[in-house]
Amino acid sequence: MTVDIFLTSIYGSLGQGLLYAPVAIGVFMSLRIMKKPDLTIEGTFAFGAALAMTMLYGGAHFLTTLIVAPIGGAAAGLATALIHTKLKIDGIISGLLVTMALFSVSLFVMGGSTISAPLDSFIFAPIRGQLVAWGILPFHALLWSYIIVGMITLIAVIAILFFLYSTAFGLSIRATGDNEYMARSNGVNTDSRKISSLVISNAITGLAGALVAQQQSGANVNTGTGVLVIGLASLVIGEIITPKSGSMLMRLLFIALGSFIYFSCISLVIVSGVLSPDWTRLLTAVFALGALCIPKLRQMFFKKRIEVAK
Amino acid sequence: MIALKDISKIFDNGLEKNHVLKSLSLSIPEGQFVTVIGSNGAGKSTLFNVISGNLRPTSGSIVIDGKDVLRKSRSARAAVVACVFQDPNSGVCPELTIAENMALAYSRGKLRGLQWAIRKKDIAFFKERLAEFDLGLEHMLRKKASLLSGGQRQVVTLLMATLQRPKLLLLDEHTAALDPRIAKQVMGITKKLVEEQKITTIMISHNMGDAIAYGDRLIMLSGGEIALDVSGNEKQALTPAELITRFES
Repeated sequence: MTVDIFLTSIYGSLGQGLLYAPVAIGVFMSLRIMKKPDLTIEGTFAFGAALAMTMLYGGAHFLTTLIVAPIGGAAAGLATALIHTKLKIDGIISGLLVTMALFSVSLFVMGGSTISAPLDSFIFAPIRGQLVAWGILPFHALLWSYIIVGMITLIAVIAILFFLYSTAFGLSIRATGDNEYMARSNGVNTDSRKISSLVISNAITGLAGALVAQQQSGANVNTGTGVLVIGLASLVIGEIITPKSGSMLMRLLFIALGSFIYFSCISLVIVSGVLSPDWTRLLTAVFALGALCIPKLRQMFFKKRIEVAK
Repeated sequence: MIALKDISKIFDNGLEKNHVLKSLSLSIPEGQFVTVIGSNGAGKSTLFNVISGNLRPTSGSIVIDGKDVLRKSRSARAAVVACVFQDPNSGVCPELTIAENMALAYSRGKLRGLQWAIRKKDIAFFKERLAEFDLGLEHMLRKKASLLSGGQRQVVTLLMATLQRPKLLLLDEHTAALDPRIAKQVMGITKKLVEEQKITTIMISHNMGDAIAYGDRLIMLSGGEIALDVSGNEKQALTPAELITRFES
């Protein structure tokens, strides 16, 4: 492997990591803040991708997709949340049902199982054009446009969430996830907080779907398959390196870093030719499992050392 | 003023009915501290859950300060009724800091909008209130509540419950899970907080001594009805032994 290919794959992973980081943040919001996994994310991601691609295909400006895709995601999150809180159906089942239904909705939106739009209608096109005009090689300019768009989106998402979680409203969301009984005893309408949280996390995921679809130059009905595990892998990798006393802002930033590390690892294994791309999903599962196990192994290791010290 | 009128609660699982509260009426004047005792199944916890809004009574009415609160949900009723429970884990959010826990309780009954959850002056106020107990809790504001011991949690929960003076404070055996020395300390703090702000309080206790020593009035529940209701000198003259014989009768 030459240094050049290596560097390119790192650039590529940085762009991918940044564009996928909002998904990991969506997983964080449900799994860590609300302490309940939300399976809607798979469906929402594909739905956001389908909405964005269909709109671009129809000639819409990419900025409108950045509004419509999160709204679509929010609607999906709202559906799951209402099924969960009002009909008292288990959260996992609610997400599963909505994801199932979204599959058909996405098919309907796209009018088929795949759709693509002209490259120069994508959000990356104007930035790439500008970079090329500055004399950067077209291929590098493309990779940099992913990084720039991903960075701006991620900063916006993290800033909004950091602000939200610092407010009285956000604190009541965190309390609802942490100790629902206590939150209710302190006058928090916990159902409304669960609904808000799911709406926001799915809006973010819908946005990520819209951006990733443009990066992959098209959407298909299976776009969302596996993103939940990719998000989970990024989240747990990020958590391993997060400092123990990390504030909310730190935690969010390290999740993004986790996403970058995840994509770097995958691309290094693939680019170096150790495994063919067919093995990506298996690698993802192994990485996620590994990252989940590390805290436990660390604990066991430390325990042993203490015993030896005795 | 708290007025419970003809409160009945029947648990019905479709096969058999369990009549836990039998048209129980109770009126508590503003600022009174009532202790409640009774054997298991006497209906103490059901009574609490009915007052706090966790359970809907089968019939009857609950009026707090002239307002019927029966139709209000648990979270809506929290603005006027504060609770501290037996399990020290139930009163705090372990992953939130002590300051965040207190801020959450401080905005009880207020609109939780997009204003900052904790302002600088709140921190100073929380610090001042925690320092009153001499437990060093004021230095732990930024620490997660999961680091607190059971006794410390109950103290923080008590303070949280009274940070905004509630119309009614419900204490459900809140010292039962603590060791005797800490339990005594927490009871002392309870007395101080309740008396300072003259909070109308109902406390369930398994400890006869506590039930006699604390509060202005003692109520014994038996089979879902009030079996004994004493206050003033008559209450002071009671002895635990005497209460136990009443229990058995």
